Amino acid sequence: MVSPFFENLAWLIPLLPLLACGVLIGWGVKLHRKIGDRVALIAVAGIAIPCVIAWGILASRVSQTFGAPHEAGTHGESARETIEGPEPFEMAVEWAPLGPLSPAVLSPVTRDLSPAFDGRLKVGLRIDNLTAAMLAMITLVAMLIQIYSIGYMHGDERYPRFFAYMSLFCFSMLLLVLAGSFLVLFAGWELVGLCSYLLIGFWFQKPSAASAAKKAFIVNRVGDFGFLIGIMIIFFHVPSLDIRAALAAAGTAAFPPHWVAIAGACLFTGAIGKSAQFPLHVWLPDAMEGPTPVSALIHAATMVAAGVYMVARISTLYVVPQVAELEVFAGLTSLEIVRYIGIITAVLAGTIGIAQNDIKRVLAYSTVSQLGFMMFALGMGMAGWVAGVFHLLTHAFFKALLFLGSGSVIHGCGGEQDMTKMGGLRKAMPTTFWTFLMGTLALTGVPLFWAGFWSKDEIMAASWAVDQPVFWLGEFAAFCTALYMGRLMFLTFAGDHPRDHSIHAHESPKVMTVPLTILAVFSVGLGWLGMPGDHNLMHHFLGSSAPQIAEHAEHAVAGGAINIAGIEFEIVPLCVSVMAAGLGWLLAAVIWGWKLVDVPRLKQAVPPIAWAHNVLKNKYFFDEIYHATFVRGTLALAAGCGLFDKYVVDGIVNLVGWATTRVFAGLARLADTWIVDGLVNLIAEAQKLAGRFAAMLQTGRVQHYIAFSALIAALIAAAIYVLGGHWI
Amino acid sequence: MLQHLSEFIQEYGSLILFAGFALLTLGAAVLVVTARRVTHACLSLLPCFIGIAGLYAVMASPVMLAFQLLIYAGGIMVLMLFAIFLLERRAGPITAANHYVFPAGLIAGLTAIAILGALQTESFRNRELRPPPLEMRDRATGEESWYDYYDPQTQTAGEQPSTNLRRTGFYFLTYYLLPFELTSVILVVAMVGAIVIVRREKGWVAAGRMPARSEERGVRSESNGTATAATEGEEEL
Amino acid sequence: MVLQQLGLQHFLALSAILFSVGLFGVISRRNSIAILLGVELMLNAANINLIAFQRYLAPPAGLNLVLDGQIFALIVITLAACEAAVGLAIILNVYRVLRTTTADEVSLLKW
Repeated sequence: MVSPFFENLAWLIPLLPLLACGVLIGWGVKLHRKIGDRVALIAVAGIAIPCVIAWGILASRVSQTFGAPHEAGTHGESARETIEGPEPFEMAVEWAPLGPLSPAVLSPVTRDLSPAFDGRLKVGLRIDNLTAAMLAMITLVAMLIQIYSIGYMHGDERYPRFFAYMSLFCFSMLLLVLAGSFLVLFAGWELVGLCSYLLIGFWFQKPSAASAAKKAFIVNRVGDFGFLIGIMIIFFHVPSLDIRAALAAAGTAAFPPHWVAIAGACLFTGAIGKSAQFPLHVWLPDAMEGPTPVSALIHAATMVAAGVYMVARISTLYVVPQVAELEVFAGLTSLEIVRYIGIITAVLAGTIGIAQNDIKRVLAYSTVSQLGFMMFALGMGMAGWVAGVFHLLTHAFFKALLFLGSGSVIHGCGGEQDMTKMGGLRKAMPTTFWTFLMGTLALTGVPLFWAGFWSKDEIMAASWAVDQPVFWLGEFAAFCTALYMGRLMFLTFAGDHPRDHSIHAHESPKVMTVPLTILAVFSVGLGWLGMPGDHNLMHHFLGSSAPQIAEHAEHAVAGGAINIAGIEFEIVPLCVSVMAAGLGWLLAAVIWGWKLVDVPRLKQAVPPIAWAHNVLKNKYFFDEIYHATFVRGTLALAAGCGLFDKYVVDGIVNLVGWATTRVFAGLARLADTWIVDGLVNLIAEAQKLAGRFAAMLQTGRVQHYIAFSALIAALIAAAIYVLGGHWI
Repeated sequence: MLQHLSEFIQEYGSLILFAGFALLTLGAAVLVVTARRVTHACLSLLPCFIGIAGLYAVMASPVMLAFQLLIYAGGIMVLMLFAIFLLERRAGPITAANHYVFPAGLIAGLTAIAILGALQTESFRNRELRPPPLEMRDRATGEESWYDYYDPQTQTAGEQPSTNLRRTGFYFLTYYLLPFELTSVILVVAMVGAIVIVRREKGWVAAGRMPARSEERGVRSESNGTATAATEGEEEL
Repeated sequence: MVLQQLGLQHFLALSAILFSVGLFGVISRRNSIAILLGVELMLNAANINLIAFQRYLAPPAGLNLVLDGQIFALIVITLAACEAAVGLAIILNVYRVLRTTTADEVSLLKW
């Protein structure tokens, strides 16, 4: 048993970045003038210490998980199996005593069945294995990205402010991950949204950045609306905001399965917005207007994964109605909604990525696509749960690596982001190239060594077992991934002679390449922890956080909702995955590497390809459709309201006004002249007289004042004397 | 004869003490408000404070006696004397003439009569105003003592400190901790404020005059260093 | 009244007279330091009242068990010290600026 030394320090994890943020907001500019770029070390320190604590917590939990004897593995009834881990660590303080709720506001069943809400809102943190893994990942990636930013943001006018926002983001994200109740979760959720807004619009002088920030914020609000409603539904039934209490109550009489399904669907709306799932994915590519470290930290590694994390955390809410096979919408259960939204997003974004030219946009669509993968993994219930979270962890590392690498490329090419104008950077930027290659191989799922292969293959294996059509769509998305990433690599790094902007390309400074290297190591090595088989460490470590509903296990197998560690190794999905990745790379090499196909001529020759390219280049016209419907619709509604206001409401008001003027004006004028004016003038005259009298007392000599007040005091005393003192 | 004297003293001793101290206090007080020189008025405060301290002793409050002498006579009065000396060094002997003597006397007299009259009302007269008996005895040793006393009727187990002084300390650090701390804060603020007010600053305060005339300011700003240095010695208060 | 045994009324009467004498000084003195002297007298009168009330009106259950009056009086003494310090500082500064310590001539706050 390891002493909970690091767990007891857990409250420092979100607090230190907040402290760093406060220092940088308050004194950042002054310090920057005095000590230059070293001011960023405040932010780095503000995340480095939590990083140490987080890894300490992770180590402690790992030793507790694997040190304690427990039934692990594949023998026994795999359908019933749940994996036991150490108890979650909790820490809470009372925040606001609300007082007991009136029974009238609770649902009739809740009133009788569940323990009454004790009227205390608690805020606190809760660390189980999932949280520990997330914490370690977030703090490490954030620290590396903060270090990278020291070089990347060099020379920026609002240098300290950038680090302040980044630290604020770290605080919010860590708060979100540590949250033990929906209240704290929601606070972190909104705070990361705010930080995202601030950082996307960091260069708000650019109109595109400013509008991208607004877009991200507003689109996220759409999802958050559903999220809040979901929280309210839970509170109404449970009634508690504690996540564990909500999960425990799911499916009981107080919180019946059909309400669980609706609450889950509402909460999933929030995840759709935050994790950029179809149909709210439109904000994420635009968010690339922000500085590249922001894209790496917020819009690839952590914040967009918050939706996935949240769904993973509450996945009991999806599994419970799945067991009861309750339909929520259009004949789909909430779990199926998660699954299909995920796969649609993965395929949609994967295809769009092929036709983009901006290096960061390709990566952005890749992110959306990978988030789709995670989501549909979670959408397969307990079968895909660990795989989804595993992919979330590996993806964070290699996607952060890719973004930072692209930042390094952009930095080296003097701000150019168009891939078609790059080329031959392999020689000019060797470190960037090799690390980028590691990230790309991980993302495309090249077998054996790279992390992405293991995590993605696990998702595929799960979907092969649960839902075959989804499996084939997922393989198609994986093929697209390999295609667009191959295209990116060949366009950017291949060739002997640099083109255009790449002529003056140079390697980035050490402070940028070292984080790249460290991330590359993780992109390769992390996957080995999740190799399938008896010694799948990821399964055993994360499994204890997975939804635990043993009593429903019998039914769950039929619904494909359970069977957590029981994914058998199957040769078919593995082969298909390898083939999909290989085909993608091959096609990319043929078209953009060896240039065996002339793309413009091919488009002329086969019109459907030209059309398809057009559709993909314009991202399926999502922005246009949304503009034509929601934006224009809102404006038209506003215009209609304006017209109604102008003609109908104003007309009535004017009519009344006209009538009033004619009839009462004469009477009113008489009364006004004599009575009202007379009174006002009288009061004014009286005031003037009183003022003149009071001014006489105001001599400016202190002794007059004393004498006056003494006289009054004497009069009071005399009054006591005369009246006999009875009235005091 | 001696017997009679002893009885008389037992009966009226405290009254006699009261009368003596009261006369001392009032006489000195009248001097304070009528003396021609401010110095004399200030010095007359001393017997006045001594008289008041004696009255505290009569009221069995040795703590107040000590603090009256320490703070009022030893602190405040000396502070005033210092201020007067500082001023007289610059301005020569300061006279403290009275003006408006008649109206001031009228108001003060009215106040006195009103308060004295109010004392005659029933709410005051109907009270039993005898002080409970005292026994002057050191609690620890049981010997007679002039500074320590206790009430034989209420003296039970030693739950509370017995001496007036000890009790004052006890109360200050327990029930009256907050007022005590607040008072010390006010004291600090007053000290800092006093220092800030009299501090010499470079600029017009150091020059000793308001910047009424612009040509004067102009001259001063031209030869700032020498002028300030010259005035500093001259304006020393 | 005089030949009664010593009681609360004696002290209250004395403090009333002392207060009036101080008040007279405050009103009639021209010099501001002399005014401060009068204020000190008035504060002392108040202190006598406080101690007298404590001595004679304390709850009969225990002698001086309640020391409210004395505590209050000590706080008043402290505040008197503050008042004297700040008051004298102001007077010195006024003298520096206006070259006078006569209260009548310091009437800048007139309407």
